[in-house]
Amino acid sequence: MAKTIVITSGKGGVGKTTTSAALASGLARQGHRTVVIDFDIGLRNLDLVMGCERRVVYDFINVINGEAALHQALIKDKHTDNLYVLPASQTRDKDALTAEGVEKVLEELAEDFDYIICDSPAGIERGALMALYHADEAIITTNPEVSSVRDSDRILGILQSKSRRAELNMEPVKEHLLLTRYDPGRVEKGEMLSVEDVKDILAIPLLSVIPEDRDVLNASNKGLPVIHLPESRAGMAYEDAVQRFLGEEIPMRFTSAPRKGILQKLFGG
Amino acid sequence: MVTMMTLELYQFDEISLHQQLQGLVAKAPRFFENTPVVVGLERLAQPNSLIDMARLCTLCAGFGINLIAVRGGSSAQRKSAIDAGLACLAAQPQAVARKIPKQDHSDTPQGASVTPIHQSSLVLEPHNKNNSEPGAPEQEVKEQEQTENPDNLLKPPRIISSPVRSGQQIYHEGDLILTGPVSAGAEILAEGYIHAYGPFRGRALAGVKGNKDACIFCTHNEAELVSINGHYKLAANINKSLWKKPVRIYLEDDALIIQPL
Ligand SMILES: Nc1ncnc2c1ncn2[C@@H]1O[C@H](COP(=O)(O)OP(=O)(O)OP(=O)(O)O)[C@@H](O)[C@H]1O
Ligand SMILES: [Mg+2]
Repeated sequence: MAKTIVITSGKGGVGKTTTSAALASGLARQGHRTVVIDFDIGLRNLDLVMGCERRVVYDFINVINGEAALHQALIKDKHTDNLYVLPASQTRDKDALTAEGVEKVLEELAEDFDYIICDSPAGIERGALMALYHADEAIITTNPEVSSVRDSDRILGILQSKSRRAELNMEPVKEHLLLTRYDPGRVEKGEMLSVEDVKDILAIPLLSVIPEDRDVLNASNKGLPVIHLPESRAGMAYEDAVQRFLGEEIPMRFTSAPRKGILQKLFGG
Repeated sequence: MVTMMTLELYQFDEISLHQQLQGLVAKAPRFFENTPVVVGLERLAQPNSLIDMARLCTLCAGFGINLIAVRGGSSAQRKSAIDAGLACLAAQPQAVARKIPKQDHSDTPQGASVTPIHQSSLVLEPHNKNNSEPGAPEQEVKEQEQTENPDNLLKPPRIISSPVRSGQQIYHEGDLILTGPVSAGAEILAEGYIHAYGPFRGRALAGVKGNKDACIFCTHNEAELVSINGHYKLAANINKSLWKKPVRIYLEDDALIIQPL
């Protein structure tokens, strides 16, 4: 049975697209047939982060409108086997996303894929609601700051009331917290919320803590999901997330600031 | 002591209200800073006019005015208020406006006026049969009273074990038992008691249909607002020593008491 996973947050710019690209690549690398869908109609970001923007011919909306067959719109990822991207349309507006249309596409994808990753737009409007409606699991992407946590809380409420699983009284959507752009140094200075603060407020299981890392931007400029950079801290933290998602138990890392050496301490470096 | 402002609304005309608030904020820029504001609907020229409370909230927010509740109003107006995330207070016909804008509204009220109120608690849904002014809002309260007797018709307790998130509202015509967390921005309304066993960061309103014996028990009090039968306190006015502590909240001679457990 295919699993549909929404990457959502409420607040914008917290790292949903980065996360969608990384997790989809990580799952595919483990041999799972995976497709990642861009629900951010009008903006089109995922194809850039995945490095396939030049190969976009047809998009999600074309498929919904019957202007292209699904297999014509799916783009095979060039870095990883088993991975396909369904890009968003840059020219249409969000109203083109109809509930029936999305459902039909997801049903067709479910026949061929193990994981369907839905990269949600920010906000709590149509696009975001469409992205989360069919979810079996949700990855709540949150930055360690009050406004992001509050929006994530709001999205959790919507998941448990407006998703298909909620409407049909099925087992609730399974929730995972992904804390991204975490900077332990700033947490220690009291400038950001800590892992514990966020866990305490949202009260859902923590999937991984992704550190603030320049490699994220470097990777996305190159169109390479950051999980493919084995040396990068964010890449490692995303790989941990994939392993935990698949049921491995591994300790959390990147949650505390690197220890200062004795000389740095002495000289206040 | 709670300091609150009341915005007395005479009619909801966005343009004139906008102008009036602009004038007020220009005169006293910090007038509304960090002050919760209640919208009084008792003096509406057309008591049953439709008011889009979400638009009113947005309009006020544009001036840094933080609306928390409406007072009085028709059931449609109150429904719109609840949808906009506001609490509903009962009509207060005796609250006399000390008007700040210099226009005289006594004959032909227009727009809105602002009144500061200072009291330790306010009444949300009083069942005051005696001293209420006749008017559309009160009529509605009375109609409800005739059909449902608050003491006898409470429903069996309802247990909520999933978290209640920001933006969600739970109403029950009896006792409510919450075993999960209640987030900031969530609202819990019970005609009976409220028992909360998880961290409580939202708004708790017990005895909302006139039950002054209702209590709130809360093992982890971080509530934004607590209220019993309309007498309420905001977090800022709750003793800091009770923060995150187990508390019992009840009414004694119309005073809201918050006691450690
Ligand atoms: N762990 C990280 N460290 C540093 N920068 C990051 C990290 N994660 C994301 N970013 C940067 O933050 C910005 C926003 O990321 P991204 O586009 O993934 O967010 P989003 O939630 O999809 O945004 P939107 O809501 O606009 O869709 C990008 O510039 C990205 O490079
Ligand atoms: Mg995005």
